[in-house]
Amino acid sequence: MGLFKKDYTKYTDEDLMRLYTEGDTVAFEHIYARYESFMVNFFYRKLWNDRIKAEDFAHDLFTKIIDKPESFDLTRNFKTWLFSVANNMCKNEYKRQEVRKNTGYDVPEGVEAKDEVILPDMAVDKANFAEELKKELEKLNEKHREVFMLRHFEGLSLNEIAETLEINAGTVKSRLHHATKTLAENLAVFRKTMI
Amino acid sequence: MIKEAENIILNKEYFELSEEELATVSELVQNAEEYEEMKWFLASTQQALVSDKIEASPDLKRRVMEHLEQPKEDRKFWLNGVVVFLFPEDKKFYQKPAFQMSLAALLIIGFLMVYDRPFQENDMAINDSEQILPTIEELDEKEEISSGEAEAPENEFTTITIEDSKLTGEDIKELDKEVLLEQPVFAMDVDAEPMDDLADEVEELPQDGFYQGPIEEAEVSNDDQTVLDNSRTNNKNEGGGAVTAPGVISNNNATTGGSVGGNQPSGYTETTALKDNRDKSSEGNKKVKSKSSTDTDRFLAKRNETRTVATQDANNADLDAVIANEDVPEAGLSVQDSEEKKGELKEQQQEKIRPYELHVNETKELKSLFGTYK
Repeated sequence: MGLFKKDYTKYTDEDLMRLYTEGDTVAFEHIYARYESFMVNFFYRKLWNDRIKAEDFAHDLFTKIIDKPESFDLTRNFKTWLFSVANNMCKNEYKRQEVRKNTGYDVPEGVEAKDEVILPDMAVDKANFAEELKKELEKLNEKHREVFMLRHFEGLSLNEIAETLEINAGTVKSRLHHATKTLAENLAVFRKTMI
Repeated sequence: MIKEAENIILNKEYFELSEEELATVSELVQNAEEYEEMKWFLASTQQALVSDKIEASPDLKRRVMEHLEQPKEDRKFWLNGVVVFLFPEDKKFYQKPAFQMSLAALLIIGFLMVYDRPFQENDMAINDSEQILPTIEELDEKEEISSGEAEAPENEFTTITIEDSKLTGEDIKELDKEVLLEQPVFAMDVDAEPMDDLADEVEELPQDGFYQGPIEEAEVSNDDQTVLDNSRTNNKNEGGGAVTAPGVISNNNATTGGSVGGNQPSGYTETTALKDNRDKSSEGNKKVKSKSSTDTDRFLAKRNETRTVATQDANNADLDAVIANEDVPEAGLSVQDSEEKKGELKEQQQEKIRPYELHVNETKELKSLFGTYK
């Protein structure tokens, strides 16, 4: 029996999807295990750090795959296809909301934006770096932010980002360059204090 | 590649870079100071992302697995299955079953439309003969039919007894014409009594009831004989055999072969011919046989011409008589002349009034046109 047992860990994502379309539900369980954390964190960052909404979106994403496995083109890369579907779901949510949820990224009403100049008596620690990073990301253009997040947050390669966003790899490269440089320059003050 | 540049920056110091690595990282940094700043930024970013990650709750996995174990409703997705079959995503356009099936359907339909199917054509029997309806004058002449015929207009064939009739020879000729024009299509008059004295000589009737009586005994002119011969030849397959001599119709029919010769000279009495033909006519000699009236019309036209000539001759004779003697006894007129005068009078008097029997006769004509042989 053990000889005929399938070792799903050796299968690629595309092979697992093909097995699932043929009726092997165990293959889908492995798919889920591989991408559960990725998709939850992706939705978490995309949807204003809302944990509940992030898990709901992740549940919807995987149920769609369960109901319509044939919608995945076996000739494509499953990872990029999955992220593209998730990205489109977020865009639709943005359109429905029209206004971003206020989760701390945006400055609340009645409060003036902080000055870029760091007061010398205020210590900038690592905890603030993350908050500042998020703020700086919000200031970026949506296209640059998207590319930066996919690259650094999701760990996709240049080509994978190009497939996910359905754009040219050169375009991805230029956008990523711009985002990295801009963020590095804006957060350089933290380098002086954190060293 | 930028990914390699980030890895190089994170893992190596600026002075450790080779020329190729320097060229790679030059896309992000230009000098050692920028290199150090970029290195710090990338490292801090990774640390911030790691601390910012969340873990999915166990409830999420449970809900997803429950949905996975639910049985699929085939009804719900059958349309999706059909669409997926017809338009598979992993195949090219010309490989899709929908395209191939539609192309095959188009080819089949196009072939059926273009192909000239022979059974579409109506190969109905072509009727070569043309029937000409009698003119109004001819219909009007029927008014002089004997009382016996007028009393039974519904009968397709009139039965005239010579004994009862007061017809003259010319009248009998008109009866000939009338009978010829009435193209019978239905069965013969079964009420007619056969002539017992002719039982031995009468030929057996064909099943269709049409008479095929001998006509060689009739006294016909050479031209008329030719016409009859032609009609026999042409009408062999038209329901009953040869056309009989006009007049040789029925037992009681006063017409005879002799009456065919409408161009007989004046003074010809047909009573003798009538008797002879009556003796020789068969039991079923009651109908006009031929459906084709081409030869019949030809014969009629010819007879009319001869009558016209005879009339002219008669008129000339009258004129001569008038010149010679002013009084032209009417008795001296030939039968044809008197008949012509009668016809002229009728034309003048009656033009539009059409008695019932004429209407009936028209109906019979229509029936003969559209009827079929039994």
